[in-house]
Amino acid sequence: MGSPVTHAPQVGRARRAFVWVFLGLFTLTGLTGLEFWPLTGWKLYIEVREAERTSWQILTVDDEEREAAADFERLPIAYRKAHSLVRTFPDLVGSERNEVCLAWAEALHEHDPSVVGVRVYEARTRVPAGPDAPREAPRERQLVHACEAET
Amino acid sequence: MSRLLHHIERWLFAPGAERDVAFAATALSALIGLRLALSPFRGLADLPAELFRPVPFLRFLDQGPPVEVIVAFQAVGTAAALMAVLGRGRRVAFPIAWASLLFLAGLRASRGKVQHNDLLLILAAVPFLAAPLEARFRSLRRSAAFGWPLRSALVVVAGSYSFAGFHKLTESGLAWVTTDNMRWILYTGSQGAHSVWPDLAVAIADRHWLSHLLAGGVLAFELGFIAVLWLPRLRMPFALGAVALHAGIYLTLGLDYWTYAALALLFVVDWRPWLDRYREATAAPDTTAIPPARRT
Repeated sequence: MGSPVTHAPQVGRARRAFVWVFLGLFTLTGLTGLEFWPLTGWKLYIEVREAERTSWQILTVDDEEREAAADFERLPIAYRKAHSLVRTFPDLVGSERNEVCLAWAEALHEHDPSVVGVRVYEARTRVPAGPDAPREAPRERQLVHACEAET
Repeated sequence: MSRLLHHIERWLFAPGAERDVAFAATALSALIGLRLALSPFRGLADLPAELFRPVPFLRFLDQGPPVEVIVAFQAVGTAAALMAVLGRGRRVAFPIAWASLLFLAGLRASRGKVQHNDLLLILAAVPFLAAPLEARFRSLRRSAAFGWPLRSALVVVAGSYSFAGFHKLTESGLAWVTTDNMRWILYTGSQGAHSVWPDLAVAIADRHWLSHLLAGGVLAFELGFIAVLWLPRLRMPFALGAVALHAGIYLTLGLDYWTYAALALLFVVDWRPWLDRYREATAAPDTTAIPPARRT
């Protein structure tokens, strides 16, 4: 004999509306790709990756003008995804880019006092085939922005 | 269209077991509590205004809040999650735990990049904010009130995978599978700071046929996930597939999606037979039954 099916409590109109609205918004953002956090379009790894790609490079500069890849992973967690803001650079005016760049430079300088500045390049690079594969210099690169940390 | 909506309504609000809601609410509370307790949220403190890109509901903040606020949310949320796991005041404790995770995960997502690590847990828990959280595990009651929370969460879990596959297909087409796309995903991931087993990523990427097979398998898996909503026999394979997928992603790319695997196991697997056996095994013996008299 199965479990008793009771006819109360049932689902009131308010709860039904809540469920429909929530699942409706979830489906709408899922299908359209809209982002309205925490609702999301679930766009993960949607673009085809290739051997060569155009990407942003954020490099630190020391007082001898030597460049090195900015290592955001060594910074506090608050800064670890901060480099993602580089994707917004095409939409930012110069002063806005400078604000972001200076914030990076300050954080990187605080972690490593030899860092005196940050340069942002748009570069065409070849992806190395593994962590042990040789890294080639960028085939082309263009300086997009530069700033100096306040030391 | 109205016929389709009517079918969906009948399926969503069909009767369910009170015990299943109790089980799922307890498990969700545990997941939320673990996420709150183990995530390094305090590192988000004092994110400067220049780097702060708040998600919509955090736009009242100018910059990242001080560490004391973050720790307070983390402590209160974890305590509330623990109360909810223990079934104490779950009607109040569960929403508090959920809101704490929403706030802290929202801060993490306010650094300029959409982060999906916490999203499925947050969204799958939304139906339970309006569910009868006083549900008891030992109850035998079945009602429409107890069916929709788990079915709604199942829609969210299945939908998330299928939408991910849908956008891969619409953005890139079959080139996502037929080109060297997966090889370059793995080569790039193998160089990431968090890759646990970079040699595995390189070993797969070095073998073109294996990379294409993996890409095709991932795309088919994601697109097909939605079928669990109407084909119950697919639920266990897809749940286990989700565990394998996220284990592989963690090993090769170092991306942490363990809550996704846990949610797939929680909502996609049909736990009813196991819950029935557990309840029968732990039920108190019936001392009111009179044993039959012996023949002599």
